[in-house]
Amino acid sequence: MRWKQIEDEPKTFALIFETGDEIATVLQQFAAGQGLAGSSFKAIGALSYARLGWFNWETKKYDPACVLNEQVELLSLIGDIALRDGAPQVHAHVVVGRSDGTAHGGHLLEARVRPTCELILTESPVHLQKKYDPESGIALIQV
Amino acid sequence: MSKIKRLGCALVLIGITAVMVRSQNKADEYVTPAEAVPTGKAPKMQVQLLNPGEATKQYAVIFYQGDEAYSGLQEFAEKYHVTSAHFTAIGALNGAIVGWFDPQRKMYKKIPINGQHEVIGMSGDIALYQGRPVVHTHMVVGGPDGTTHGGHLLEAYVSPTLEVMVTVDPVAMRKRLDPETNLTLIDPALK
Repeated sequence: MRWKQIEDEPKTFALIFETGDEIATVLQQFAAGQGLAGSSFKAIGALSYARLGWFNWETKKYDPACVLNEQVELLSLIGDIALRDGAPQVHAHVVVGRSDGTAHGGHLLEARVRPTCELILTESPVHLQKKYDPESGIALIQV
Repeated sequence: MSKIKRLGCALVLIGITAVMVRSQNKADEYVTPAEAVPTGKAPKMQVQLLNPGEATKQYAVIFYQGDEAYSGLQEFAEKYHVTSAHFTAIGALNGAIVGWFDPQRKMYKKIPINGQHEVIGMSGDIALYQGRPVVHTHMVVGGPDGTTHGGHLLEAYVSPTLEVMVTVDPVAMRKRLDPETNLTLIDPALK
């Protein structure tokens, strides 16, 4: 993954992923490395593999909604970054398109890029904080 | 003979009832674009300005369990005097109605989304019509097997959260009524 800061106010980055990059891991590392918080991003591109989750309200865990071990278009990746216990946490959702044009989507668990993924990320001066929510069992943004 | 007649009568009656039930359903299945958005259905909504002092404002609008997002976004737009904005959101919901615009009827066909779904992508904009902000939103949702559905947002019951990142621009955008579609469309030339 190569990146470049394309604007100072608000702080905006372009992240360009290459074949083989795993988006969730690389993005998490980038967020930690840059000390990002209170950010949002969107991306398009293509993938050779995707594993997407669906939040199961009964078990309070992400079930694997679908695993696609094939070339798909990354039609939409939207997400945000907030601090949880002082560390940035990436939250992203994905829609992918298969070769027959049908779409699948869910919570980003794993996405392997082929050949590219273009992501634009904007950081706000005010940081967003996440707090554990006992009702859902996951950390939610508190403002 | 009379048996056949009676059978015929019964069939006609069943037919009429079926048509009546169907046309009644049709009325419930469609909604006009101009229908007012009910407010007060998102009591847990929280708003934070992320870049105080800037001309272009960035807000985080966060919804929690049970909030209805469409009415909440309308409330946000009115309370913060939004005249031009665009946003993206992700989260999850339990129950929603999305619309598909039927150009023949000039109405939205209601598509119910039942049960827990990921809000995979929501994007939208806000512009003024007759001095009031109008929120226009589309979304794609994903079910437990990863299949997706989507459409024009009519109702969405958040579960457990929906994170909306809004950019409010300083220059107002205005809409005008398009008689051909009955929709209010953004006209950048309108002052």
